[in-house]
Amino acid sequence: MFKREKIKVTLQYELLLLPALIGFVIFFLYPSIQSIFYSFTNYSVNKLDYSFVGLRNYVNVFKDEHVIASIKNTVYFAVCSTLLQNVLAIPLAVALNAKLKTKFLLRMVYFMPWCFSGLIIGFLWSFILSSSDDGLLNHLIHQLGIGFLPNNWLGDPSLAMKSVIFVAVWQTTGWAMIIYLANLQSIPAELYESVKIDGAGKFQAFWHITFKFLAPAMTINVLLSTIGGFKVYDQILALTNGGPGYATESITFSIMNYGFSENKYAYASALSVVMLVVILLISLVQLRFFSKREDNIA
Amino acid sequence: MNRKTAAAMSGILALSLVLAACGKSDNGNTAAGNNAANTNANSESASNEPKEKVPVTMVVQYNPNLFADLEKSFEAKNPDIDLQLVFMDNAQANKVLNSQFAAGEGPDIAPMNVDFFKNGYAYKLNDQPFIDRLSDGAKLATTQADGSIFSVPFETWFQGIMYNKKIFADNGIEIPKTWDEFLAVSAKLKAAGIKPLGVGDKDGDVIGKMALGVVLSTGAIIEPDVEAGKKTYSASWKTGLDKFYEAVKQGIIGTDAFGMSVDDMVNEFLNGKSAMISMGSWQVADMHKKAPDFDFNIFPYPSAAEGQEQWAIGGVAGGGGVNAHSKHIDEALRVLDYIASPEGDAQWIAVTHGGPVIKGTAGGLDPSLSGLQDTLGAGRTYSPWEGFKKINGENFVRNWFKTSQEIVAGRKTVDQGLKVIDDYVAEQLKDLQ
Repeated sequence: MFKREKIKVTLQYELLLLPALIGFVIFFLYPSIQSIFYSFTNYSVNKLDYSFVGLRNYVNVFKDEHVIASIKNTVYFAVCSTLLQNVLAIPLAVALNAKLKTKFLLRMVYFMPWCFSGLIIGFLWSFILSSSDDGLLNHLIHQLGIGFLPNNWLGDPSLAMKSVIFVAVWQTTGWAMIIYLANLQSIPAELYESVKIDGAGKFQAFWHITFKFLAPAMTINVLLSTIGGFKVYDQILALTNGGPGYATESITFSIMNYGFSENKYAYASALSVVMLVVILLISLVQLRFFSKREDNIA
Repeated sequence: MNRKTAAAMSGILALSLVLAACGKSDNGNTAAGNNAANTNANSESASNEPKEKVPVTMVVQYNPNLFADLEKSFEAKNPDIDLQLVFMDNAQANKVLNSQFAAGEGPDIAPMNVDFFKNGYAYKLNDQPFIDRLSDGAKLATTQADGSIFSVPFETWFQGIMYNKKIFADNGIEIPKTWDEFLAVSAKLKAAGIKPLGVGDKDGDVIGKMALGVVLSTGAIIEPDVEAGKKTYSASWKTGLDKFYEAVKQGIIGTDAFGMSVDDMVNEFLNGKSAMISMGSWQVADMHKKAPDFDFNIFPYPSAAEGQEQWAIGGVAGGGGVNAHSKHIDEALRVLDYIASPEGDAQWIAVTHGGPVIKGTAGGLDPSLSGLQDTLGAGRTYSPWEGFKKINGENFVRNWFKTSQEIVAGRKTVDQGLKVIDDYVAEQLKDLQ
């Protein structure tokens, strides 16, 4: 009788999982398996009756100079944006966790950019960073008499990706800050009191308590911003359209171009699988590293 | 009836009401006509009600509001159709439409390309009556190697170098005919503190097309030979491109162009901040609207060397075909039939300032484009990517635009850039085998 009741309860819970599971299978698992399947074929607009080509697409992916460039760009973007986002979000969260009268207003202001689509933010910043005479930032720079500063923000190939990273960090730091803020509020105040009694200064309290106890939020933030960084597309599309040349093209950009512009479905599928594997590996390594850090707190 | 049974019954009742309502909304238009049990009175009252208009969506790459007259005239003649024009940015149209068509969706009428046709997304138009109304040139350009026609052009488009007439007059500048003269004019304007050439090359198309305008003067219409494997771009475009990119060495064209959009470039020109821009017929309507008193004209791209003929970049691209999975194919064909008539074509080019593609269409060139009259009259207008019959020209030119940006940025030499283009074409042709 007891066992039947237990099965019934378990079934009820599993029934609740069913809608999500169906969505997961239809919108992720099935397309992913299809992509893996097509990546071993020569399926394209010119070969609708495809045949199997083994690992040829994977070999070609690593010979394609544009794909290599897009992988390098993506790694650069993901690493820099993740680092900057977290380095800025922690002090911001600490500051806005203090007893400020305007803290709720400031939290909203910093979080606001994240509420908009990356495309809108990208277009907005492309007006600000435009190298034309009407570009807002350049106009300001010239008005301030500091026109010697580099001002071809989106057009100089060595500066364009840095500008894209700046915009991405500007948009997403508020979101990371909110997660750190939530974590900060769960740190017991007694811990700060005890280190104060031990004679620790503010920096030592931050280093030994705050930074250490922010580990769970850091795991989430670093993981999600790295994955987001690897999938970056919309901000680049609006800011530079992947240019100049291939200077800011990301892996997703290459997948879109090969898949939806050139209709090389199998090749784009191979590229997607490579991206999936890279993200999976990096996520696993990160999870392992940060989980150990969390265990140390416990 | 216990509470559980009552709840189940009411649930079933609610579900059946929802399903009935869905069914009614889906079949509402046809149910009255098909149901034999309907009384005469009901049929009469149904026929007196105004029929619901069939919506036909059509992608345009201009401001849709500019076509209000065309829409009005069409709907006056076709009161059962609601023509809905939707703007789509040219740079993204290919990707957006491809994903929409692949999902069995998308607009009823849209710009089509050879890949869409191969995928079965574009409806074959060979048997449509309006095909015979196309001018010979337009028909030739839109007919594929296997004789298929899946897209109808609505206009010819063309572009050259637009110039500010006042700046030219104030500085005593003659219209340049060769690229050396163009560079000399630019240097003179620069010395006078005027930005000679405004370039908004964020998407790569402005410099890329300008370069091809100069290349054409070297007699480089080679696409049929390239597809036949008889010629390469490395051999044919080298002289023209070497000449063109001298503008980079002289600081007339630079990487600052990549940080500017076409809109930025046009606005600068209209505000008198630059003396020239490389632009075409499709921008003229908006330019007149933004600055009605601004006085400008256009000249063909200067030739690479003296004695060569000057060309304009242009073609019959644009227009549209019918989505093969559209629910309103007949209605969409009626829209094309109207636009591809002398009346519709005249209304279309009155907005776009392009040239006619339908036999018997009335209309002349906008005065601010008169500088291209002789060039167009002599038929010296061409766009290499439209010359392909086997490979997808749009993808070819997208690669060229990217490569051109890399040459301007100094990341590739002209020779390296041309090799990239040749390799791309070779790969596309190999894929067709």
